Amino acid sequence: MSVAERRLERIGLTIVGDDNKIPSGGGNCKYKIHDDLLFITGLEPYGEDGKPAFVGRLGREYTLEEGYQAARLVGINMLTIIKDALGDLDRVDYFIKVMALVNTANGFSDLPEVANGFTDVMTEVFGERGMHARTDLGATNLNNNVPIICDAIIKIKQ
Amino acid sequence: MTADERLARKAYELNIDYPKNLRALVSVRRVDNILFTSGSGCGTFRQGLIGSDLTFEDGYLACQHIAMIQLGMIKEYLGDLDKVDQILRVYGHLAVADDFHDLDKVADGLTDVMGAVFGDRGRAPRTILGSRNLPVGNTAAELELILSVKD
Repeated sequence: MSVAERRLERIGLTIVGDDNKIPSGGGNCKYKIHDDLLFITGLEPYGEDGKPAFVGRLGREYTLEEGYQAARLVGINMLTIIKDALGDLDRVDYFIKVMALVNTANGFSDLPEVANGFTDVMTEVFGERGMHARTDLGATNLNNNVPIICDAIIKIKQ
Repeated sequence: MTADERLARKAYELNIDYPKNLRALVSVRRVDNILFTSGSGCGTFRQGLIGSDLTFEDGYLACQHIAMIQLGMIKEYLGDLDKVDQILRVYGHLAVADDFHDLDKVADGLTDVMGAVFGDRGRAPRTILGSRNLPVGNTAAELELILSVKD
């Protein structure tokens, strides 16, 4: 078992290693690899049944804490995609850049506190290598009206 | 058929002429064999919010229009679209009404064109968000690309 997966087990997270349940839109795909760069699509907080587990906006349907949990779920879904792309989570050298889009209403502006849910998952699993430059952006709307979407650019070990 | 020929055919089919002579603008930058394009809107082609001022179909057409502009920029820069290896990432904003949630299907307007021109290499990871007040009198969408080119 890889180092990252042992960490996952220790913190009680499981990934299925099968990304079939995480949908990608019609013309897009879940990831692309170019040399030592892995580009991952903007992911929604999908549940095990392949449907959005959270639907609504921060500041209206969801509180900061609920948004944080949705962001963690996006992180867990992304681990599934990474494992599918690279075969082994330990092939992640380090995270480069993450964009967190937060669906907001009524002037909600605690975007970083919500997006930290995603970042916390990555640092719990990859340690220092899970840290990344991150841009948080409040959106007036997101696909399926989910509260958060995150994408990532990751450096792969050669 | 070359990618350039497929672009010309798509331009005819959609009746959208992709822009030429864009040199006045810095529209593409290259690092090694990765290209970054500027975000482009569809100008006055479609303006307003998708889901209230504009229909779903309008939004899809706007994204198709932007795909042609982006391909025009890339063709201008590379000279030959067959130098494109793959599209690595699509990022963009759609101007949408409060209760319009079908953003991915609207953005397919762009990725469908990329698929038609580049095949599977044109499929790409995508990050799309709902926005307001895009440039040019609230143009309906603004999209940018990261792509790789063959050595």
